[in-house]
Amino acid sequence: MSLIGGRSSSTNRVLLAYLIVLLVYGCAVGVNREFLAWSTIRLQLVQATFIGLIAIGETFAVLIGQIDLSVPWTITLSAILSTNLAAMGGNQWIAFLVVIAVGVTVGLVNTIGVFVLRVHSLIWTLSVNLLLQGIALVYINAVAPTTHVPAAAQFLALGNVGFMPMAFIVWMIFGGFAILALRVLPFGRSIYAIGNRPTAALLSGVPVGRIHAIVFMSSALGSAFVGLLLSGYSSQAYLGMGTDYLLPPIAAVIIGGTRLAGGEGGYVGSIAGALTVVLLEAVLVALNISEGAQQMVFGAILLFLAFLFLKRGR
Amino acid sequence: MKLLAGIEQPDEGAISVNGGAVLIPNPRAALSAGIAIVHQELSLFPSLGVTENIMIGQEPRRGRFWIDKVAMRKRARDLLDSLGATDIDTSSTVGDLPLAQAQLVEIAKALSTDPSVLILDEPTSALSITEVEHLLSVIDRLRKRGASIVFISHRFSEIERIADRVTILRSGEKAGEFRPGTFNRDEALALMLGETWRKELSTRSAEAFTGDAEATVLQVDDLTLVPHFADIDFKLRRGEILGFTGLEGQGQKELLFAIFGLFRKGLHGKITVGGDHLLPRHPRESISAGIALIPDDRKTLGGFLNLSISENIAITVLESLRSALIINRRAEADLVDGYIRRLSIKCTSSAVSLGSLSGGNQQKVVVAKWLARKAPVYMFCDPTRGVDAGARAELFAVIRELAASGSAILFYSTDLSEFAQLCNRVLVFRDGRVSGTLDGPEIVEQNILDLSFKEAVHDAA
Repeated sequence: MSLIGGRSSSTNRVLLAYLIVLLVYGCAVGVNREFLAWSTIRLQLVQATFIGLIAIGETFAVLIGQIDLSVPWTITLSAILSTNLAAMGGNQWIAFLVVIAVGVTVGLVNTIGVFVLRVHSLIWTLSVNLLLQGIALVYINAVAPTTHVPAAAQFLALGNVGFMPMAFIVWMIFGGFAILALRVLPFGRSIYAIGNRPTAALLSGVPVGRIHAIVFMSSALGSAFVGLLLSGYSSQAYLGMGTDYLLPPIAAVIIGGTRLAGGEGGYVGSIAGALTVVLLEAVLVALNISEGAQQMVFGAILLFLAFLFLKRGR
Repeated sequence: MKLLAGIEQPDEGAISVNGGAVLIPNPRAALSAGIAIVHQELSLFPSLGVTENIMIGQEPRRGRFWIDKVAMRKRARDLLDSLGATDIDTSSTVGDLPLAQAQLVEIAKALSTDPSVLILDEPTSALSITEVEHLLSVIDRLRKRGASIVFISHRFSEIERIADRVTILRSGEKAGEFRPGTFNRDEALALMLGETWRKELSTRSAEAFTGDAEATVLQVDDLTLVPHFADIDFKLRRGEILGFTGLEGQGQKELLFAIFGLFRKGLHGKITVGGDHLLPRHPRESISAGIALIPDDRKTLGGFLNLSISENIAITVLESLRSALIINRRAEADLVDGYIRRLSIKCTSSAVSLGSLSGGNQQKVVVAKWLARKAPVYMFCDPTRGVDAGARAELFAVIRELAASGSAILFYSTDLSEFAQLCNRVLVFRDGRVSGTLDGPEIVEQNILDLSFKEAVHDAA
């Protein structure tokens, strides 16, 4: 086993993902010298943190051959509920309890649908996303959103430790745990076993149900936590704030070299994937082209990258 | 069979139809070469109608795009009538038909391409005796119309009834041939068993169980799973190797899988392991009761082809390899290297993927992962499938060693010659029930076949 993780083919994929980050960063600097400034880099790192934190659970889900599409409205619902209930309760730590409650609930609902009821995760999690959207709308109609965001959330999203953004430090801590979990814990082994051959995993006594629950809960907890961070970042929680976070985390996972069919890959690559996605977006903004053109170019590049990686998977 | 169907490609040699050499790169090419196959597992679409199934892929057209439903229905009707199946309604859904009728639909489908050669792969395996008789008369009728037919069967009575010329295949080689009218059961049996088996048998005959007759590890009472097996009773003792034999597909495999907890619903009866009752609904229940299963398909059930040897072996004992939370790499390497040496698994390192090994070595890895559990009960389900003779001998040595060290073994194989080499006792299965027990030296293929064919033998007499 190599240091970067597992078989040489997946090591190569991870290296390729980091080469792509460097390439995209080179382009960014070529387009605008501003990208050499620490303040710009800092901004990109914070943006990448949001995608990277979601990509932890998404990497787990893709590794076991599933996908989680309930991210956007988990973000929004968690942000609205946590800020509101914390403001009402008069204690900012209530927000974190609400984040955990939303994450665990959504994760369990996804586990029940995908593992117990055997509905395809694509269908189930997308439906759960709609369900959460409905709940958020009903809630907003009844209770006006607060403008008071917990100070701790603001510090996590905007604060600095020395010259490092606090958000990035949080990402690296959780990311480090994710990498270790996949490498050295029985949990990680079980994930690769399930992704490789679910029937053989079942027959080997792997706790398949428990692993599904942990995977979907970590994905939902990541999204719920990012919801609170985003409300700290923009000092408010609002409907639709999670809408832009459906595909970028999945793109990050795939660019990071994890096989979409599962069983191969890891979180080290997803970090590079998150950075790539964020830098690409920033380059397109810096090119000063219209928003529509930006999205078209972004979509085309993602398609190209996905094609590149899916082809390598064959 | 698969070569003729275009599913697999020959390494060498040629196929000729009507005197002309043909290449069959895919199933479509087989059809256009005039070869039609009725597979053992029916290849029908259960939710489509009889007509649609028979005519699939060659629907008559009206104009360029429209399917001519009237012509299609008429053609299907004609084909069924030619088989004497006038009672099958062309508009009924295939999933609603009884198996014997579905089989006739399958044959009609095969005939719809007007093939030069019709191949029937064990078409009678799922049919009752009257249904078999009807099917054989259909085949007779086709023959009289000048069709060339290959009929594959394990059952001598059917071969005697229907075949002009008989070829006996054994382990992928032609073992012998009978000209018209010369078929003889005893000779055929000798050819099926083969010389090598005779030699092995002469050096090693089955030994009766000599251990403690009271030390029951696994007891099964009245175990039933409709429609696979019914009223199964047996006791398995420490150090004993008990074989489940009989023809293929008589419920032996399902019984092993049921004991391993792979059937969530419909299992009735009593299983007792080490004094505890259990009716497992999940493999983890069986595993924690001390049962290990080496399944028949190592590629989809037994192992993880893309994971390393090390990851494959350690998967069953991850919890016990932990120090604190983390998997202890040193302990894992020691364990894995130990089994690689003990089973002489041929590999460059324990980090190479399972898929890069030969079939025999892959199977040894699958066995090793369960040896690591040190289970009181081991169930081997056709462990030598696709394994070369050398690795097979090594596997047998491992199984004997396991029994000698006090584990109890259940063994099922599709190769009847293996039971005499390995087992202390065998249960012969027919139609999901035990039709007889053979002990020690009684485990001879002739006896196994007698018990498996009981009905067929009466039938012929």
